[in-house]
Amino acid sequence: MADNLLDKASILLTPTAYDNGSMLSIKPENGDGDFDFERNSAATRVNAQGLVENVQIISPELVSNGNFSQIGTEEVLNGNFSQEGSELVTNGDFSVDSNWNKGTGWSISGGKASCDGSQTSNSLFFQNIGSLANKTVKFSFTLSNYVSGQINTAFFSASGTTSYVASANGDYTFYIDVASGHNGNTGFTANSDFIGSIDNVSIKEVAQNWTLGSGWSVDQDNSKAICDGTQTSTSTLQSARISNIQNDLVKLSFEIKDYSAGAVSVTLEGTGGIEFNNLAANGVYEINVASTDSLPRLLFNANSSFETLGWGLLKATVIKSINIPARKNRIFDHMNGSTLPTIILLVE
Amino acid sequence: MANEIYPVSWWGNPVQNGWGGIYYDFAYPSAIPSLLTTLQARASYYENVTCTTATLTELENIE
Repeated sequence: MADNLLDKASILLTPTAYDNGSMLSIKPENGDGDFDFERNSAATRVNAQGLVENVQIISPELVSNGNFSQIGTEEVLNGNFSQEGSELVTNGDFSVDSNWNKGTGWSISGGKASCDGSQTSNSLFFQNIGSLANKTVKFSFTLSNYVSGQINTAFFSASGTTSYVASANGDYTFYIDVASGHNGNTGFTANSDFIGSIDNVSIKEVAQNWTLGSGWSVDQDNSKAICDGTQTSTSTLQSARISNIQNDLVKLSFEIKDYSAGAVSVTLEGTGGIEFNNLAANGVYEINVASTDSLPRLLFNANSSFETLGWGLLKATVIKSINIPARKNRIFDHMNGSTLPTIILLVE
Repeated sequence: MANEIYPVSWWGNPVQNGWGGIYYDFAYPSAIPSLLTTLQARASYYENVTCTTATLTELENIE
């Protein structure tokens, strides 16, 4: 029907279609009639029921992370394996003659603990630092005035714990997985020939928040976990339980360096699957997943031949995504009345 | 012309609520759907379509 008001109108505007800062005209259709506006405060309007109500301005984006590009805080504790615990040794610098149990030949003097070789069999030198059963520690000390024999690190009653040897002057640092049964007594065993002094004895827990299966160890100084290939079946590096990520989208990432042999599979519990199956190459691996578990763990399952040559790095991280429904504050919410305010401009 | 279908129909001059009213929409197709399609295509937000259509229909009925 020609010549009706709709045809005649040059500009026709209703608050139906809008962008941030503008209402869009129905006519003209090319945008020339759009109505731009700015407000720096809230406003009021009359709603369909004839009531005045407050409305908010169309503001800059009010939704945080609406495009999900932002990542949240780190959820894996000690994910780079760099964390170390407090000093467990008392009087490790031998400033006083106390705290240590001295076997035959041992004495503390001049800021050192010395063994004079008067022992005729293995002689123990230790103190009780509390049980470290099934934990990983960084054990360091300085050997000086070395003459003969050897000393071994010792974790009493922890059968199966590797005993490291020192038989020359120097600074020593060993990462030791302490076996079950450790009664807390920790120190050195001097063999019958040992003559020398030790100083700066330090023992600190590392690999906190992780459980290390056979073959796995942690090099805290270099922020890495290592799998040496000595495991005879699947062996797991397992994180502590992770809270506050249930049903949230999380970014799981880690890096494998200096790959040597075998394969490792990676799983975040509660996702319903294996996130990475039989990885057998260096690389940075990332995936976005969600776990239905309330307290899932991150598992690195090394097969019997997985090995990273002592320079391997598994740097694990789970980063939580902030998941907010994307919605923008709008002026015209709830404007569902039967009559729309309409602007009509006629040009005769 | 024989054996040829007419390409255009002539619906006469119907009155909306009177003589020939059933042909009214064919004779005078509404401009509203086209306007709203264009409007929606360029809008970030579009709502209250029912009232908008009603308002435009009223305008279209005003000579």
